[in-house]
Amino acid sequence: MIHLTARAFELCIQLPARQSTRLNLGVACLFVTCLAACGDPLVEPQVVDATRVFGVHLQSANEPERAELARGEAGRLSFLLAATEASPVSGLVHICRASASTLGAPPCEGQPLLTLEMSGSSGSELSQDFALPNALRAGDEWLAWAGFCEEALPSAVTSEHFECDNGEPALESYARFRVPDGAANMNPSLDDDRLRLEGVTWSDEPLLKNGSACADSDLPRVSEEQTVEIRFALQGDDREPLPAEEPSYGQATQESLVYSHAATVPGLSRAFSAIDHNSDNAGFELSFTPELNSGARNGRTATLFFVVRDGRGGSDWLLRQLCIMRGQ
Amino acid sequence: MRAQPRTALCALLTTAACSLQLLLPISGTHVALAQPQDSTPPTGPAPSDPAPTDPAPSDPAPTDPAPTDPNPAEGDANDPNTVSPPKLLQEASTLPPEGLELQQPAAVDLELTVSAEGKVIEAKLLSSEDDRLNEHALSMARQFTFDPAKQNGTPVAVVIQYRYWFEPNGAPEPAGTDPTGGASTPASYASADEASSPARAAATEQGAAAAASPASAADTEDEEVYEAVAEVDAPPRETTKRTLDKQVLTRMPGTRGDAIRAIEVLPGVARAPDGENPLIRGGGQFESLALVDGTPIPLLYHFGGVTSVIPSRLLERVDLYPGNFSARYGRATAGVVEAQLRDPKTDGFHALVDISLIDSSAMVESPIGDQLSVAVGGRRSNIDLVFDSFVPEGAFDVLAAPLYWDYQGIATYRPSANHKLRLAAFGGRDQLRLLFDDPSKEDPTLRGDLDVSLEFHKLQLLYEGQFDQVRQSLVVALGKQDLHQVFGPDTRAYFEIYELDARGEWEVTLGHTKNAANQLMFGFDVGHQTLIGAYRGSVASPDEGSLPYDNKNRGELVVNETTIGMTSPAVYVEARVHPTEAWQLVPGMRVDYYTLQKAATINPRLSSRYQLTDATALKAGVGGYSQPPLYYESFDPVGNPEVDPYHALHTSLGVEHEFGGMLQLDVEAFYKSLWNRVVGTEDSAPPFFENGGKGRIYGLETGATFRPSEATFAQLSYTLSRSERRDHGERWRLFDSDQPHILNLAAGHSWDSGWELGLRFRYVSGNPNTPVERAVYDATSDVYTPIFGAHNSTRDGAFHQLDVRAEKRFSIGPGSLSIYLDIQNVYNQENPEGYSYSYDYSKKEVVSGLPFFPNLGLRGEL
Repeated sequence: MIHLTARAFELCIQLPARQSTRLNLGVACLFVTCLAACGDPLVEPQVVDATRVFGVHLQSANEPERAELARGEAGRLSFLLAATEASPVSGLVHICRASASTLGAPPCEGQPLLTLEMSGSSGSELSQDFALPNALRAGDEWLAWAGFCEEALPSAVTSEHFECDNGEPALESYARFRVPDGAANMNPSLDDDRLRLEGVTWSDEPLLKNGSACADSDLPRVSEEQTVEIRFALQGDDREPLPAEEPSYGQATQESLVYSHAATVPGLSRAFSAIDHNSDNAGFELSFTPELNSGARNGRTATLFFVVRDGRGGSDWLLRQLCIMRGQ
Repeated sequence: MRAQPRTALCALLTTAACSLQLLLPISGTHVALAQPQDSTPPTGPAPSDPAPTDPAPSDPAPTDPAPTDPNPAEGDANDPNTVSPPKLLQEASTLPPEGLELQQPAAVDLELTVSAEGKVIEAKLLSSEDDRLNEHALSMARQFTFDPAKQNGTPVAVVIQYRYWFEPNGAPEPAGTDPTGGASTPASYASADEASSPARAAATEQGAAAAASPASAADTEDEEVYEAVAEVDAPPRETTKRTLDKQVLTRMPGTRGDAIRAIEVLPGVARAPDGENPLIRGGGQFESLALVDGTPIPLLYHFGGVTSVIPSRLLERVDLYPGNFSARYGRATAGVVEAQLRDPKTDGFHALVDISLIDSSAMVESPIGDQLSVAVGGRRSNIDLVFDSFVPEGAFDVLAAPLYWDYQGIATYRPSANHKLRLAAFGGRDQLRLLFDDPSKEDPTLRGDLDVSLEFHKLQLLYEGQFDQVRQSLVVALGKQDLHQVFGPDTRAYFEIYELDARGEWEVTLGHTKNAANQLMFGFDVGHQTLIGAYRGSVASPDEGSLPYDNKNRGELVVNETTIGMTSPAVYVEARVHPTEAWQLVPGMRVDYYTLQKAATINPRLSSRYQLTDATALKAGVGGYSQPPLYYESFDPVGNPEVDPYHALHTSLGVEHEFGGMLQLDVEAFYKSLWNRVVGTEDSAPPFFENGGKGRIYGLETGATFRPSEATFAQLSYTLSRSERRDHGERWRLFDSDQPHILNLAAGHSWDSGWELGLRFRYVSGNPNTPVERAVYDATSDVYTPIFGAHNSTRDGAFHQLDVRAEKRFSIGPGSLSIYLDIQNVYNQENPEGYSYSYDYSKKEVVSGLPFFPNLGLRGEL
């Protein structure tokens, strides 16, 4: 995560300025090149080594595929908490109108319109049904600011800041949504996509406790340091057409989908994949090579989290597990 | 904060991470301080001087007659500032070149630059009565050895105009008793200005002007006709003017011979770590003006600092005005950097080829006839030749490796000594296209196509003329830029920019106070840009004072193809008066209008200089300065049409002292106040920008220049300063690039054997930094957003670096071959440039700047 990234984007605007005689644009681009190609990250984002928020999902009660709610409409808000262990988690969520700020984490405009409480277990999703407050209007952007605490209760310091009563910092997260004023945005779906492991359909199995012995389960087995190939292919095309906008310069005709993937055992080749709006290749591949000593003689369950986002608030996720065997 | 270069590729690429700037001068401010000496013809037309009654080849009168002293010979003889002329220590053959039949005497007028060692370091053709003699005269003159000119007894370099007479075949050779050679006439001489005079050294503030010495001239041999007009630089109009001349521009270690980067050794110039324009006296990079021959250049550096787009060998000098600058400069609240193109050589055909790891360049120049000279050059980067081999497998596809090129063409026409017309064309292109196979390892928004190119072309016409008491300068420049950029799936832009810049300036000499000319200067300058473009990307942030958020959190901005016209006309007037000969006052006024903002600014300015003793001068300045917002800050919907220009008050007080002509010291204190600064709105919400900022900057600059000979230079500077900003009435905070301590030492020496060594050492305080207190997860984008602590409340570690340059020159026939090695960061100091954070900001590591980096090159010259 390099702060220079921000500047690289800005330069599109700034460069033509009379005073902008620099060519930082080039420097920025080169550094971005380094960013992508140089060295290893300080922390591998594709490794889940502690509890963290990994996704948010909004769906209409009447139309679960829809990722937007009209004012007063009932729906469900869910957070996915990736974790290595299942621990009790409590969450507090503020629903508020987004301010006009474009700087950093978006603040609420005024006090929260609604506060939701959630509870559940880390390593899975926490959900809460609610109705979108009537104070929001069509076209409004609203925020879901959340704070989660493991084995503790969260409390709100401000609308956008939470703390846990055991003194630990809360897992804080926010998501942006919009009250539809035209065609609604739909959630992309992973269920009907083809997910293959080593060329074989990777079907859903009942989840075991992460880290548990799995030699007797039906989970696919992978040996330590054995590389397996994971392939995603869109069955249909979840890249929804985008409504025409004005101004329209550079507007894509359909969504881009970004996939995040992480595992409780180190070995995923990367953390992100993308199927961009202009990509003809509606799929991607990644590999998984469990590191040495990550398995067990009786197998050790590893959980992999897959989340897809359409960049407009739509998302979906699924979890899969592998049984990591001591090296053979 | 910068990316961490962790591989060889990155090390190579980060060579671009240095700051550069290019500029341009208007014309030199030569002022004649003495009356031409008696031009009475010699008593007899000795063979060596067949036409002594001829006027000097360059009429000194237009330069400045300075008629106030009826007997300047006596008066100037006692003037300690007198420059005694150089004396030729050998006979100059009057014979025409072999095979050439000469029917009557013929003269060739030359301009010779005579070093403090008495050697001719440059010879130019001014005019000729017989073109067949030109090359021979130039060749012979280059072999002359003089007893050097002296000022206060100290040898100094001067420029003289020299008339070389040739006799018809069969005429007797001159008697050998005439130490001047008798064959020729030093028609006039000028103390070499800083552009050509090592003696006046790189980076000197102009001291007291040397006066001409007719008496000294009279002391020379009687057949030496001295029209003893010293055409020397007057004291600068500005409180402080610091100059790097061409003798130093290409020799500064650690700059790979780049002139603009070399100004970082001067007092008041902060270190700009990421290729930005120079940061002058605590000002931002867009608060200083960068000019090339009076007009802005759209692209100063290739890839943000690899090298300037105009090769340094085409520059005559670079001037830095760190504050209290003249009314001729506007639209800047910090400082001015101005580079001056040199004229093509007139002494014959020259060629240069330079090949290094970074790039390759070539240049040729030659006179064409008597009055026209041309130079043509070009350069291309070599990075693309090796780029592929540095790319990690599978990281990305290289569709177009990083490439830059540039070209230059200069034609100078001199119809007479007092008029010059110059046409310059230059341009360049930077391009890069990569295709990332997968998103970045840590940020999914960095993916896809990276396609960037910037191309510009500039055509500039310059006229300089001297009409009796009036000096005139006109510059017109036309330019075009093309920018194309695609950055991932969501960011793209293109711009076409058409530019017109014009400047006209007149300087009238109204009289004299003894030897000091009183002058009135007035002029105009106008800049126009028509920008046609479209944009899709993130919201812009202020150039200074914005926290380094990732822009994905800043919302998207879309602008369909739009045409923006911006015109900024200005008029200015400035007087240079001398209440006494030693006291110079320069009051001035500048009025600017900005069409985009529909606003005008009026800035009065005053500077003063008092020559306390022959070696010591006191100086002071106070004045108002204004500049418009950056165009996007006042262009709806990107910015706020209601933002106005912002302002600064400059005050400074200093002293200069010179020790025997070799060592100059300069100490200057300054205070600047800024108000009405354009800053981001408090919540960064539309209209995004407003005039809500203030600033204060104060400090002390000290500089010492040691130039004992042409072969040796040393420059030491130390700046102690503090630069603060206050936005929206909040608490004062440090300027983003506040650097309290800046120490620079640069030195070099060349030997007759062809060896040349130089070093540069820098110690600079680290930049302010803003700590990250925590981070929150953006579930919509799967990235973390930092929550920052107090703005600029911490500071990076100090920067220090040693650079070394070595060059060996071999003479080969009429030309030479040089091999050079420029090593940056000799002891591989890991200088902090910021921090690199993990994806969730839970860990960080220091980002280091350029590691040990050698650049080896080969240069051939003819």
